[in-house]
Amino acid sequence: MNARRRNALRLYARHVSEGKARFYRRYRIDLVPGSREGLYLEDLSGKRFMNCHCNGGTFNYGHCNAELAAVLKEALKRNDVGSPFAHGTGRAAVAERLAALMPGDIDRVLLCTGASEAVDAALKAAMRATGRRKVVSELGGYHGCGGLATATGAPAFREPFGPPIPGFVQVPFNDAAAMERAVDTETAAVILETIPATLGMPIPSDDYLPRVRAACDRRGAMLILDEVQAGLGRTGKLWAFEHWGIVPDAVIIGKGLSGGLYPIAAACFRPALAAAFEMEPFLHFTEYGGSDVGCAVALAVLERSAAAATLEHVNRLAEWFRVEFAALQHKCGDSIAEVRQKGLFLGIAFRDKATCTLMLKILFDLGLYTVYAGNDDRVMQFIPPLNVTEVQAREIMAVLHKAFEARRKPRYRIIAAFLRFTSGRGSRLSGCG
Amino acid sequence: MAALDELSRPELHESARRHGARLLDALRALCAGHPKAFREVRGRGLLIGVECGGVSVAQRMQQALAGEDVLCRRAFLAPEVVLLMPPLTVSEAEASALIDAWRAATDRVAEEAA
Repeated sequence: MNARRRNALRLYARHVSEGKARFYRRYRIDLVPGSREGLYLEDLSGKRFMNCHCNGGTFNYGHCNAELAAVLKEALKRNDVGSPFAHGTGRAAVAERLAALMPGDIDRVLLCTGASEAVDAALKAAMRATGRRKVVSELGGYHGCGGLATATGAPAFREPFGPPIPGFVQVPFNDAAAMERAVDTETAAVILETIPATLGMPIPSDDYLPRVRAACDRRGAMLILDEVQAGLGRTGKLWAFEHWGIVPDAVIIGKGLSGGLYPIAAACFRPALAAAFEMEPFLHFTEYGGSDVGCAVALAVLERSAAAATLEHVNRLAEWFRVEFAALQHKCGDSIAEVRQKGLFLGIAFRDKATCTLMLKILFDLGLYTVYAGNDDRVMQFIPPLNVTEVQAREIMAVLHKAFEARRKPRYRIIAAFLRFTSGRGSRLSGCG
Repeated sequence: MAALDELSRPELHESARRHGARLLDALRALCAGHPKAFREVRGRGLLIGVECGGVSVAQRMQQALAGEDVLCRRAFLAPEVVLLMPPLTVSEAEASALIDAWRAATDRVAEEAA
């Protein structure tokens, strides 16, 4: 191990998180990213990885995308983060673009530092607009680690911090009847990931989201869709909810909007929700949300994400991967229980947690990086960059095939036995993906 | 890392202390002549608050300062307080310009009140 890597590991464990360091060590997946470009990132050890998680879409256009980086550099020549106390030209431009790209009358935009903050803002807006407090979310969903967002997520993320916030209830995802029962005249909002990544990308049935929309309409509740991972072209349409022909009342965007370069997120509202912030414009205040330099990158990202060529590419590659994963599933017998897919948003559901963890370990050793879904650890997330080339796609599938063949090696048989033995132990908060 | 390096430079701290003390002294002297308009000049280093006689005086000071090309805010939960938080890198000349602007704004507001 080189000295720089050793030092980074030591400092991380000492001053950032010994717990995380211990977890990565335990499974020998202690990645220390060094240089990176496009699909690839290199560990400080010199080992090269293909990043097929992309931080849930943060790196939709790959690591250190040269064109987006050039936009940021250019913006830094005359701008900085800007001021929340003044009209921001960047904020105005991004908001106008998002309003044009959103369906229906979603035309108000609050720019935030991260998506967790945007979720909080949307929930506040819904409570203010309806005068209600009840919020319904999906069991196993994940909308962030702060404030109200935590209250909508998995118990493991909120129970250590005391009793639940009154009025926050959860129902199983893709169970329309349960949702219809839960949404009542006290409900301010329903918040869902259009396709919940942390739950392992279960694809909602054709009638689920339309029925949720109808239930909200009947009871006067607001429908907030979290498109932090599934949005921005990831599923082959600009917004994932377009696949189900519905229009929500608010849309949360994050991750990919940053271009992987400058943090920015957005809560996009219909006028009814925005009314709360019109009456009391400083009700939600954010220092760095919609920073001028971040907005420059976000505008460039939106331009790319909405381009017909981008969506065509995503759909073409998605179809190629669909065929390839079907072949892989056929070849691997019952190891892969299900391949869940919408565009380039895939969850590979293995037969059990141990198999999933083993495959992630083998893939890591072979230079393909991804993670399991935090709230369904049988599912490996597969989220390659949207601009992955066909040559790179073939390189990725070759590694996947090789990984399944490598399972039979003595080394991995021992690891598999260990994983079966320890299955069920360890942190439940190990992956927020 | 570069920001932390800069922020931990002893010269920066010394400069903030020196300019802050000078600003506080100057503002106290300028405000002392108008006890109805200004209740207190308080602060430490380059974190300065001037408590005005009321919200309207603070508003007028803010506007008058803007007329002198000085942007400042009032405290969100105490709008009668004008906040002065120049950059830690403020120079001697810039601190002097700020004092001059405050003097001009004070004269204008006092004149209006008279």
